[in-house]
Amino acid sequence: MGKREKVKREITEALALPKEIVLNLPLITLYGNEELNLENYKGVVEYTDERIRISTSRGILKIEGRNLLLKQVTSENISVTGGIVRVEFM
Amino acid sequence: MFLWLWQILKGYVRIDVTGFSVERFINMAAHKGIYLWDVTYTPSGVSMNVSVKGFKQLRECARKTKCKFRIRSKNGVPFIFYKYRKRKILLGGILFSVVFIYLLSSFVWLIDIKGNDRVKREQLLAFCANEGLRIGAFKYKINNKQLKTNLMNNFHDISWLDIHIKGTRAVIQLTETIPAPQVIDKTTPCNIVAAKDGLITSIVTGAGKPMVKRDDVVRAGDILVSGEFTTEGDNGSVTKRVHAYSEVWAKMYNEINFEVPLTYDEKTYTGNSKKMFSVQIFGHNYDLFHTDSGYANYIRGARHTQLNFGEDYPLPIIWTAYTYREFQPEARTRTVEEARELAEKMVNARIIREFDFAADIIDKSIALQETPDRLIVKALITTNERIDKEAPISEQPREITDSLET
Repeated sequence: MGKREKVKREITEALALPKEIVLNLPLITLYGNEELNLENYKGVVEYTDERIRISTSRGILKIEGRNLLLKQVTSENISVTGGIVRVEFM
Repeated sequence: MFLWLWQILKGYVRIDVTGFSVERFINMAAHKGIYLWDVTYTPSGVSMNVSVKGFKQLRECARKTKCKFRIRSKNGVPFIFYKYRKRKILLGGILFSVVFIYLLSSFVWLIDIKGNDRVKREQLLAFCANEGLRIGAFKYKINNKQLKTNLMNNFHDISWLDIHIKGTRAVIQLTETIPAPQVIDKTTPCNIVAAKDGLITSIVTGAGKPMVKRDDVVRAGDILVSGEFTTEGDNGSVTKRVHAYSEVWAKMYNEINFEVPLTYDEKTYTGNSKKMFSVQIFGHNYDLFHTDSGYANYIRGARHTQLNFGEDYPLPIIWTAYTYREFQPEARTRTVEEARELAEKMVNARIIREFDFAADIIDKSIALQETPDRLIVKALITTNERIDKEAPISEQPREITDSLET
């Protein structure tokens, strides 16, 4: 982490700014085990009905489950529904 | 829900995408700002929904990612229009029905009156009809304000009133005034007269001069308490007139005569029934498939249903289902004993129905006379009732008072 990044983080935390915007972090919202909403993603790496891998600024997010479905895909938001079993950063 | 409606209106395409990396295809489409939804996994690739506008941009994505896509289905309003674009009469029919429904919904087809108790519904409806608010009236022509004012002026029992037209239904909501208490006028002189014939059992006079006493027999109309009397004072006789008040009870006999026949018909339903329908459109009745029921004896029941578009849009079409149920009259006889019991019941029912609620029943004797085919019932009911009634003082009573005083 460079110095510039460190200062940015400190300011963000001091002012309680939304991190996903300022630091470009992925924001994951999980509705129980049936819907996952991911903002700030980079791209879909793999898509099957049992495993989805999505690349983000903090590595690849792996979602495992049954009957997974991409409910919505837009340039900044992706929404996965189905029986989610595991969510993991790789 | 609204998103779905929007998609239907704008039209969308479901496509199957196959190729080496469908993920790249998805990423590229997303980056171009194409909205994809319901992306599902299929063994050969993926299938997804895309808007018509986005679909046109997909060709480039497919070429760059070396994927192939095929249209599985076209959905939404634009495609339906395209499919039926040459069918002019269908379009005309749709337009016609829209206009027709719009026109129909510009009339009042049902008038609802809420909150009336003392004000008669029929009177209100008749008045409204006179003022232009009737079934079938053009709803934009009704002058609500004027009608409201006229109703308020005409019906004094209404304290608050609102008329609104919701759809094809006019709702008249009103609140009635609290009924004015009955004022007992104690200033106008009056007599108390007998309302019925009877034998006086008690007389308690509050004001006036009693003309009868206990155990006197009176006829209806006789003066019981006079409101006019003469007193002897220092300055000679003075005639005074008062508002007589008295509570007078009298005993009277009431006869109830009727006959109980020993044979009667009983309805036995055969279980056969037929249904017939008729429809009323704009107040005209049209019978549908009506035939003779073929039953010699039947009971007809009717059920009316008014067609409507939701609660607020009743239509001028009333559907009626008639049910004809056949029965077989069967002659039965009852024994004298049964007839006796029935007679007793009928007497009691008639006492409840015909006699004043405040009357006391003192005695009830039933005399029965048997004839071969009927039972003749004579019931004598003795009651104790209040018989006092106010009556204006006429000029004649003076003589009676005089004659009684001497």
